[in-house]
Amino acid sequence: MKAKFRNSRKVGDCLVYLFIIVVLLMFFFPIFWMMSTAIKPESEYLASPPIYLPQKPTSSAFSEVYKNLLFPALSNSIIVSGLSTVLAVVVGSLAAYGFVRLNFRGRKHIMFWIFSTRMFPPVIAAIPLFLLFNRANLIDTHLGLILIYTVFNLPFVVILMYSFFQTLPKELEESAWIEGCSYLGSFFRISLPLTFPGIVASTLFSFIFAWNEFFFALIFTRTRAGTLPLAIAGLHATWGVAWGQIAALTIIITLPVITLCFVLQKQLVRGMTFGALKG
Amino acid sequence: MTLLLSLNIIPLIYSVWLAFHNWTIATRLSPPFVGVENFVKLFQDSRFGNSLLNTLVFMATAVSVEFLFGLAIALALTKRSIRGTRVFRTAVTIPMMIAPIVVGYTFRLLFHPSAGPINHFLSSVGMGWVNWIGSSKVALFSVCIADIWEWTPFMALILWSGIYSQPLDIHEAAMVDGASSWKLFRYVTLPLLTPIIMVCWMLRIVDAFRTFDIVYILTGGGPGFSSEVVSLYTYKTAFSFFKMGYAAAMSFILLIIAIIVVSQFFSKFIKQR
Repeated sequence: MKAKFRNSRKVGDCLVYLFIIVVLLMFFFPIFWMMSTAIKPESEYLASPPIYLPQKPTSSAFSEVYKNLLFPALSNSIIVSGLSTVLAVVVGSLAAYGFVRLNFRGRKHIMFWIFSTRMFPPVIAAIPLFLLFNRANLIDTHLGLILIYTVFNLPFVVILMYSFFQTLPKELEESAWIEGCSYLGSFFRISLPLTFPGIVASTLFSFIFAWNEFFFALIFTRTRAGTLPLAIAGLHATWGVAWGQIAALTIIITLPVITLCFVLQKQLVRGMTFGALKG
Repeated sequence: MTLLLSLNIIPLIYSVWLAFHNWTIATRLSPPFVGVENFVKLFQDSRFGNSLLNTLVFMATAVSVEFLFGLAIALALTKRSIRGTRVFRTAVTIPMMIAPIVVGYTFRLLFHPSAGPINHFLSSVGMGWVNWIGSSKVALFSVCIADIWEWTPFMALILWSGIYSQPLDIHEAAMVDGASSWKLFRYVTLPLLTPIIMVCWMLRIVDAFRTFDIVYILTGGGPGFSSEVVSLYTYKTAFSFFKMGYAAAMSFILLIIAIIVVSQFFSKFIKQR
C-alpha cells in the first residue's frame, strides 16, 4: 500500500517535471529563434525548410545596426527613459507620501483619478495631446516624450509607494519631529530609506515601461527623438523586412531589461500587482 | 502635482470639445461644430462594432488561457517535492519583460507561412499547414497566442506568490482529515486564492483592453479588419485618416467603458485593505 502510494507520487513528480520542461521549451523557443536569426546570413532568414542553427554565423547584422541606427536611437532611449524615470519616481513618491500622511478632502477621488489614468487605453490621451503638442512644438523632441512617459508612470509610482508608506508606523516620524526634524527632513531621512525596496521597484518598472514603450513613440516622434522600439519598426518600413537587423536590435533592446530583472528579482512581484501583494 | 493634473485634465476637456466638432485636415483651423453627429455615425459604423467585438474575443480568449496555464504553472511551482523551482521561476519571468513590439516581430517570424518553424513543426508531425497571419479566421488567434506567450508568466508569478503566502497549517489540517489532493485544491487552495485571482483577472483584462503594439506589428489589424482591435482602429482614424473629431468621439466611448471597469476594480482594491 505504502509502496504503491510512493510510486504514484513519483509518477506525479515526473509528470510535473515533464510539464515544466515543456513550458520552458515553449517560453524559450521564440527567444532562441530571434537570437539565431540575428547571426544568420541573409540567405538563411527565410529559408524553407527553416534553418534552426545558423550554418555560417556572421555578425554583419550587428555591425549594420551599429553603423546606421544605434546612435540616435540608443541615446534617445537612454535620455528619455532615464530622465522620465527619475522625474516620475521623485514626484510620485512625494505625492504618495502626501496621500498617506496628510488627510485632506477629496483624497479618495484624487487617488481614483490617478489610478484610472494608468488603466485607460493610451489612445484616449494620445489624440488631444498630439494636437496640443503640435501647437506647442513638442513633437519629435525629447522633452515631449519625457513629459508623456513621466505622466504615464506617475500613477504607478504613486500607487506602489502608497502601499509601501502605509506599512510605515507614524510614530517613527513623530519621534523624528520631536528630535527636531522638519517635515521634509523626516521624509528624506526616515521614511525614504525605510521604503527603499519600493523605490527600487518603482524605478525598475518605470524604466522598463519607458524603455519598451512603442505607441507614444510612434505618434510623438519622427526622426530626431525616436527611441529604439521605433527604430525596429522603421527597419520594417523602409527596406522591406530586414530580419537580421530587426533581430539584432531586438536583442539590444531586450538585454538590459532582462539583466535588470535578474538583479532585482525580489521586487518584481510586488511591483507587478501595484503592491497589492507582498512578493 | 499641478503638472500631472494639467497634463491629465486639459487633454480630456480638449478631447470632449473635439468629439463634438468635425476636425479633419481640411477643417483643422476652425473645425465646425457638429453636435452629436460623430456619435451617431459611430453607432452606425460597423467597423467600430467589429473592432469592439474583436477586442472582446481577444480579451476572453487570451486572459482565460493565460489564467489556466498560469494556474497550472503556479501549482507545479508550489509542489514541495519538486526541485529547481527558483531557477524555473526566474526563467519564466523573462517573456513579460520583453517589449511587446519585440514579441510582435518574433512571432511574425515564427508564424511565417513557409519559413516559420511553427509550420515546419506542424507539417513534420503531419498536422498540415496553417496560414497564421494571412487568414482572416486565424489572425486574431495568432495575436492571442503571442499575448498568451508574453503574459502567462505574469499570471503564474502572481498566483504562485498567492499560493505561497497561504498559511501551511490549513493545508496540513486538511491532509490530516484525509482530503485528496484534488479536494485540497478545490476546497482549500482555491477559495483562499480568490481575491488574488480577482486582482489578476482585472489587471489582465484592463491590459488586454489597451493592447496595441502586438496587433499593430503582427497583423496590422488585417487581413481586412479581421483582427483589428478597438485601440488600433482609433489610432488609424486619428493618425492615418486624420479624422480627429471622430476619433475623439470613439475614445470618449472607450473612456466610458474603461471608467466602468476601473471603478469596479478600484472599489474591490480598496475593500481589500
